[in-house]
Amino acid sequence: MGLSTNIGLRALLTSQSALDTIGHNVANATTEGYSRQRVLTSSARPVNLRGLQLGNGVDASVVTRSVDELLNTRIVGQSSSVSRLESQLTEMASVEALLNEPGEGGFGALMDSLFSSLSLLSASPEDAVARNGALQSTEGVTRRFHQVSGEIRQLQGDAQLKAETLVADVNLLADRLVSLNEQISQVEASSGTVANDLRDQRGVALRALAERVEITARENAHGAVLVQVDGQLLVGSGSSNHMRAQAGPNGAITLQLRGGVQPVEPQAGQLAGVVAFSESFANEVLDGFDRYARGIVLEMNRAHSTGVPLGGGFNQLRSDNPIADLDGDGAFGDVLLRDADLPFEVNSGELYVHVAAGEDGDFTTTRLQIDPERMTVQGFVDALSGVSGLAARIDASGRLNIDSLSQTKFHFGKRLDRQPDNAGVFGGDQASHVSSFDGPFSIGTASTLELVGSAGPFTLNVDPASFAAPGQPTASELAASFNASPDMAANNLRAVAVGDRLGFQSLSTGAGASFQLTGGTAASSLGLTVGTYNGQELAVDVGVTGAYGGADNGRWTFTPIGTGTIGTTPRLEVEVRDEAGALVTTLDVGEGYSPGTSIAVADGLSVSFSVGEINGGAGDVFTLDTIADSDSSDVLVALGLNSLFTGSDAATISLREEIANDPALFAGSSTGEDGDNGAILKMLEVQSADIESLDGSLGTYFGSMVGGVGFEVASTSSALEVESFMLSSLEQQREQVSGVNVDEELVKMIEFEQSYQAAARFLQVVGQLNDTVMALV
Amino acid sequence: MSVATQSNLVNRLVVAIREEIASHRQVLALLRTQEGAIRQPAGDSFRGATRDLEVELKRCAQRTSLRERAVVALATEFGVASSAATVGSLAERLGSDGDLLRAERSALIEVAKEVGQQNRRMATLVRLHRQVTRELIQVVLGPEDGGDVHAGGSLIDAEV
Repeated sequence: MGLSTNIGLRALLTSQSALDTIGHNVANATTEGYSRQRVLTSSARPVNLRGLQLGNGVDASVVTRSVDELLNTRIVGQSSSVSRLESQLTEMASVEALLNEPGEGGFGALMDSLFSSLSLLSASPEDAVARNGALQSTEGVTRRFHQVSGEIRQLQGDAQLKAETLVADVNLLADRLVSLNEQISQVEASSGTVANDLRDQRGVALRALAERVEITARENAHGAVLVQVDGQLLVGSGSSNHMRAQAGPNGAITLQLRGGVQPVEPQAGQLAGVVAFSESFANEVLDGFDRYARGIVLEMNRAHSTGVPLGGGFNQLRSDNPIADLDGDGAFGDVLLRDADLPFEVNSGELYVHVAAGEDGDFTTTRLQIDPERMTVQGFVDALSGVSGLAARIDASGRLNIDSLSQTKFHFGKRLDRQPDNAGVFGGDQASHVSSFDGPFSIGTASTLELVGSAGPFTLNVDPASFAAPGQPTASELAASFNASPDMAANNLRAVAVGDRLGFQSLSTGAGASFQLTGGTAASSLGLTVGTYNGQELAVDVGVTGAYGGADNGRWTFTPIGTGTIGTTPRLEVEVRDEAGALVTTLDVGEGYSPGTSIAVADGLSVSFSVGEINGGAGDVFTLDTIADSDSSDVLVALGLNSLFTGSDAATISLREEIANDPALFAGSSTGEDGDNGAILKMLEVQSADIESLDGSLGTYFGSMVGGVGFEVASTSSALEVESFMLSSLEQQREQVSGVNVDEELVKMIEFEQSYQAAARFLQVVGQLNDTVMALV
Repeated sequence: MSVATQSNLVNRLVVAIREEIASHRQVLALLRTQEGAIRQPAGDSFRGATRDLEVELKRCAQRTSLRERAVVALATEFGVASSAATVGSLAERLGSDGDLLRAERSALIEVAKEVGQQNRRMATLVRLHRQVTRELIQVVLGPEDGGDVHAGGSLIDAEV
């Protein structure tokens, strides 16, 4: 075959290559990641023949891809961002759907039902049907908490499984990239040509990988791409470091590459979206629900724990929340209350304990000061055990048990002592004398009191070292100490504590009852005055009516100004002072006062006095505990004593089992008086009150929480829209650069075909004319 | 036959042959342009060259008529049947007066050979490209007759 034939054949082959490439483009028009190819032609190397350098036609020198690497890199990065948002949004939308209020089953309706049933119960606090209704509504709320909390945790678990699946995909793609790297390097090294289609396949794999996890990729000198995740090598030139996903508690997902010293934390890609959902979003929503449930438990238990059940009190109580043995020494009592690892905080405050004197006896009130920074658990137990009629202990599980002694009842309500002169030292018919100021008293050295009773003179000794606070005895301690002396009973006398004051009182009544305080070194330190003290025939009865509406706990002390007969003596007054000594009011009980009628004192309370003589000089006095919050320390809530709810978050909140089993234990009364609904009213206030831990009311908080989830979903959706638009724009650019338009390619080919047809006709004419000319010449 | 008449007739034939040579060179250039375009492939360039070729071929009739009239007139002068007369035989009869005619004849033969070669090569290229293109179109659109898309034809070796 001659040189010319060779040139013609080269031309044919070159053209064939060009057309084959068009065909390849058309065939791969819909192939994902395919980049349009074209043939670059160049003149073939000339040949030397007979001393001449002769042209050798045309060659298809190279087939190139129409590709913009920078654009492709941006698409890979953008794919990661879009995939992260898509993945995150899918999970978030599930939570949003869960929070949609499904009619009667939603939180709003269930909470309304709870407070409606409580409102119904408040009208008939002892009605069994209403109690059951309230408790069923309560259980409806707790079930909904469990359902929502459980489903969110389920979604978290699903996200963890999804992360493991994605990691498996990542590893498969990493291996595929390693294989493609090897093929590309081999083809390009051996043939010197660009492995267009393999590179396209690798581009597809890179993008698929980027959709799952954010990557950075760079090509080395041998044509292999090296892929890093969060700065650590996933795909090397000849091997990959597989990724591993480790699920942990609270939705934690730890991603680690083989050989990596620290976890990888991708910021984009589906994995990042799943991790962000599981570790952040789901936990934030769960935290929100936990806080909501916790707020309900705290506020409702605050009301209930100080309430009084049907029956007027308890014989026994056991705390729900165990005390932690943090130091591991096997003893629960040696930790401070603040360090007892209780689910709710114990504050500095007061706890009122009311204990009945016997099975049907009057209640006596004891006020305990709670200081969690100084008081140990054992200190609290001892304080409770120090209350007459109670025994407290910590059991082996760390729970506090309180038992009443001798079948007496106790409670922690806002009991108001309707007959506060229990000792009978305010115009009582016994001879009495009470100290003029409150204890604890200051007795620094051994001291005495000299008295004369029915049996004659005797001496009482005071040993300052025998008290809990040496040299600082309280009225109760002194009274107990003096009553222990046989001389007291022998002389028909007893010592009493009237609030924080110390009093002496004859056991006999009437005008003949008498004793003398003749002296002693302790008299002045105890606020006692030397003198003779006599009984009287008519005892003054003190009665209290109303309900205390003040804001603070306190104790009012009532003392006569002067001496006289109720309702008779002109300008006979009773002074009322608070604990700080500030004057609350002065009551005119002298001439003009009708004995037995109520006189307003303050804060919703009134007092009445029957006929009788009151003697300021003898120290006549009575005190009245005014209770606004009978547990301002929250120690009952923290320990879970007499609680309505157990648990402290959405997963654990439950109606206390004892109440569920015995609705009579629902503590709806705040005082224990018949028909009282104070505790229920306090629970009803929870519905609309501003709750400190929730920064608003229950409804406001829940609305804000659901709204917050909706806002986050909407924000993510909006971000996805923007990022998707950007990706779409980049893909359009890529399509312009690398894509194959079948219509264009077809039109191009048809135009070629038509022009070839026309050319063939003219070439035929040229041939005929040329033949004619050759024949002529 | 007068010398002046003979010389006039020879000049007419030389002019006709020169026009033929110019036309052949134009055709040759256009064929080369077509070949360059078909290799790329560059459709617009190819179509432009084809249009120009068409224009050039349309001028052929007038040129052929002029050339044939010149040959017939000179053959008549020499008493030769016009159907048997060629430019070469006429030049032989002119002797030394036919040198110019002989030179132009040689130039025409040379360029006509080149046109012939180029034309055959282009015919082969166009036939092949047509065939491949039609096959590709059939791949995209499907075969027109439902038959085998590869049964279109066979390559023909280019003749130089």
